[in-house]
Amino acid sequence: MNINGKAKAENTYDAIVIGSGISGGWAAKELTEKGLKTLVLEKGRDVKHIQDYPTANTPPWDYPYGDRITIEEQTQYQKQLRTGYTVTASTKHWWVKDTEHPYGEEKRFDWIRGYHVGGRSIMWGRHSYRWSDLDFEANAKEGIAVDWPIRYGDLEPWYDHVEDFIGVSGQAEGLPQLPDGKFLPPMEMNCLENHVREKVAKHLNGRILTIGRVAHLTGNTTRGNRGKCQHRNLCMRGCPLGAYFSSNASTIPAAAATGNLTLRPYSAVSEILYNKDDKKATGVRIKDTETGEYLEYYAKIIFVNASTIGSAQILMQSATDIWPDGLGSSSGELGHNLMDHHFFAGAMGVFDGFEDQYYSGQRPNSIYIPRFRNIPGQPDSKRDYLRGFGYQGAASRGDWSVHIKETTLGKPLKELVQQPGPWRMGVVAFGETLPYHENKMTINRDVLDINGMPTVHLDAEWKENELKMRKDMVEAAVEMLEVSDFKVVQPLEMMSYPGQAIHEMGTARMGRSPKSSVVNKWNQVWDAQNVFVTDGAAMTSSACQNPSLTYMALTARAANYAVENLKKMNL
Amino acid sequence: MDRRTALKGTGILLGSSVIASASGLLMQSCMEKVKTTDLETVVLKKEDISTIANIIAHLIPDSGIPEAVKTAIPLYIDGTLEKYASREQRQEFEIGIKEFNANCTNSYGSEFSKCTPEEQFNYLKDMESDFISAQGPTFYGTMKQWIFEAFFQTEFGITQYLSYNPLPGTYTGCVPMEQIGKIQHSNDAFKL
Repeated sequence: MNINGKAKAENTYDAIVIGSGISGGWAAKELTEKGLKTLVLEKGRDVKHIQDYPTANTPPWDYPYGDRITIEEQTQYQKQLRTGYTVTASTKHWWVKDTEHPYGEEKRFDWIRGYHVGGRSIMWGRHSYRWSDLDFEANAKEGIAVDWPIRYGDLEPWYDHVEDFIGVSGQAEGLPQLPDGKFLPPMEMNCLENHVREKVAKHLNGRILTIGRVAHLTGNTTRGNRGKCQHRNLCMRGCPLGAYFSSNASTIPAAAATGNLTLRPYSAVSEILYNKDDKKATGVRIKDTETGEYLEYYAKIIFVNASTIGSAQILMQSATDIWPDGLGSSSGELGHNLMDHHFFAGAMGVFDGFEDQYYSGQRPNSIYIPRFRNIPGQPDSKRDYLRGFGYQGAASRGDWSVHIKETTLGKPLKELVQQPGPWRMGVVAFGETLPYHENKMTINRDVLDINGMPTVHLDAEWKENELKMRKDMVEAAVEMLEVSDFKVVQPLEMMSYPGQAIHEMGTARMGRSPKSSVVNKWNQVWDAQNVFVTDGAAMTSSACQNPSLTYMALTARAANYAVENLKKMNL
Repeated sequence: MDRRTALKGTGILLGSSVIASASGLLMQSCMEKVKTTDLETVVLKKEDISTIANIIAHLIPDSGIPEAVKTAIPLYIDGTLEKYASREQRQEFEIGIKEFNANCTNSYGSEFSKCTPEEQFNYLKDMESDFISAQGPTFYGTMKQWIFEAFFQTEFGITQYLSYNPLPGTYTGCVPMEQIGKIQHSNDAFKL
C-alpha cells in the first residue's frame, strides 16, 4: 500500500485498540483518559447505548412463540444455538450468523460470539469475581504449564479501580479463595436459597452459599448516566438504564467524553504491521467491511482486545514473513493452551415447604457457591484431581407449566394460576480447566468468512482432570441438596463441550519467559513490546471464577503501564 | 441417597398430583360447544381448528376470556407448526390428530368436535389420564402444552392471569404468597 505523508498523519494515533468489548472498552477508557488519542477498531457494526437496543422494551406478548427463532432462522445459527439459551427472537441481532462467520472444529467447540460495538459485554452474564493467589500460584505449585508472572497483590488495586467504576453488587464473605471486593448492596436471596445456605454451612463444614457478585448498580447507586437496576431481568437485550456494566453504557461513553476517542466500526483487522528493525509494531491493516477497502492505521501502542480466539487469530496473521506462525509465536505457545470452564454438571431438586412464601420482582442474578475443593489448610477438601469449581444456580417456584402434567380438565385457569408449583432449585458448576498445549487453534486460509478473511480451526477437549472433576461436581451438588432436605434430587450430568461456558482463555498466555509464553507480566508481546494483549487470551490458567473482571483489571493495569512508559519514551 | 429419584428430563419439575376435578364435571355440563371460525391458517385444516377449539373449551373453561384470545390459540398452533416445528413434528401432529379423532369415533361414534360436551369431556379425561401416566409425549399432552403456552403468552394471559410487573424496581426474596396471589410472569432465559 502506498500512502503519502499527509494521509499517514491523518491515520496516525497515539494508540490503537482492536476490539470494543469488555476489555477493549476498558483499554479505550484508560488510554483516552490518560490523554492518548485512541482509535478503537470494531469488526462489526456500531451499537449506540439505548438507541440501538431495539428490543429492550418490547413486551413479552410480542414474542408469542416463547421468544424462539424460527426453524428457518435456526439454520443460520446452528453453532450459536448450541448453548440452548443464547439466540432468541429478542436477542438474535447480537449473535453472529454461523453461515457468515464459520469456523472449523477438530472436536466439538461451541464458539459463541457477537460482532458489534460492545461485543459480548452486552450479552454477558455479569458475574464478577476476583481471582486469588490460590489461582495465580496453582501452576507453579503443581508444576502445570508455566507460572503466572503476577500475583493477587499485583492486581488488587486494579480490581478496586475497576469495581469502583463498573459497580459490583455482592456480599463480603471473607474467603481467601474468593477475595471480597468493593461491593454495592447485595441482591436478596429467596426463602429456599437462605434455607440451603444455612443447611449447607451447618452440615458441610461451613461451606458458603452466597448471592452472586454481579456488575449491576444496586441500592441507590448511580454512575453518571447509569441508573440502578430495576430488576426486569431483560439484560441480554441491552439495558436502557445502563444498570449493568457494558462497554456501550460505560467505558465507551467515558472514553468519548475525553474527546480523544475515534471509534471505527466495520473495521476487521487483518494484521498488525511490524517493523523488524526496531522490533515494534507500527500499526494495523484493516479491511473496511462496508467498502471492501484495505486501510492502514498507525500508532505508538496497540492493545489487542479482540477476544481470546480473535486476538490470537490477529497475532497469528501478523509478521508471518518473520515468524510463519505469527507475531508472538516464537515461544511456540501462540494459539495453544485454549481453555474454557467445563460446565453443565450439578443437580436439581424439588423442595417440600415454604408453600406460603413467594418472591417479588425478577432477579438478574443467581446464587454462588465459591470453590471448596483442594483448599490449602483444609485436608478434607482434597480430591484426586487438581483445582476446583464453583456453582451458580437459583431457587424458584414452578410457573404455569407445572399444571400441564396434572389433572386440570375443566378447571378454570384462574384457579390454577393461584397455585404456583413447588419450590425447586438447580445448581450448575463451572470447573477449572487446565492449560494443555495441545488444546489449540490454527488459521484456515482455505475457508473464508463473509468478509473474505481467513477463519480459525479449533481443536480442544476436556481431559482426565476435568472428567474426574465433573463427577465430583455432580456428587457434591447432590449432597448439598440432600443435606438441605429436598424431597427429590436429580443429578445433572449433561454433555459439556469447550466453549459452552463462553469463557475462552489462554491462547496468548502471560508468563515469565519469552521461551514459554506470549506476553510478559505487563501483557506486552515479548517480540513486540508496544503490543499489549489484555483479554482472555492472556490467561495463564483458567481458575473457576468468571473471568471478565480479571480481564478488566489486567487491561487497566497494562494501560497505566503503557502510558507511563510511553511518557518515559520506553515504548 | 434414599430420597434421590432419578427422573428423565425436566418432567421432574412438572409435578404429578392427580386430583379428580368435581368442579370440572359440573362445569362441562353447562358449556356451550365452540363454533369453528373462519381462521386463515397455513398448516391447520378447518377440521383441525374445530378439534383444537373444542379442546380449548375444556382446558380453558374460564368465562370472561375475550373471544379474540381464544381465537389466537389455534393461530398460535398453526404458527408453531408452520415456523417452529420440524417436518417430523408436523408429521407427528398430523398423525396424532387423525388418531385422536379416530379413537374418539371408536369410543363415541363420531369425531371429537361432533361429540356432545359430555362425551368430549369424558374422552379428554381418558386422554389426560393416559398423558399423566405416559413417560413420553402424547398428542393430547402436546396440545395441552401448546394451548397453555399460547394463552400465557397473550397480553391478556400475562396481564390478567399472571402477576406481571414490567418494572419491578426491586427484588424481594421472601414475600407471603397471599401478597402476590398468583403465579408470576418470568423473563428467565436460562431455565434449569
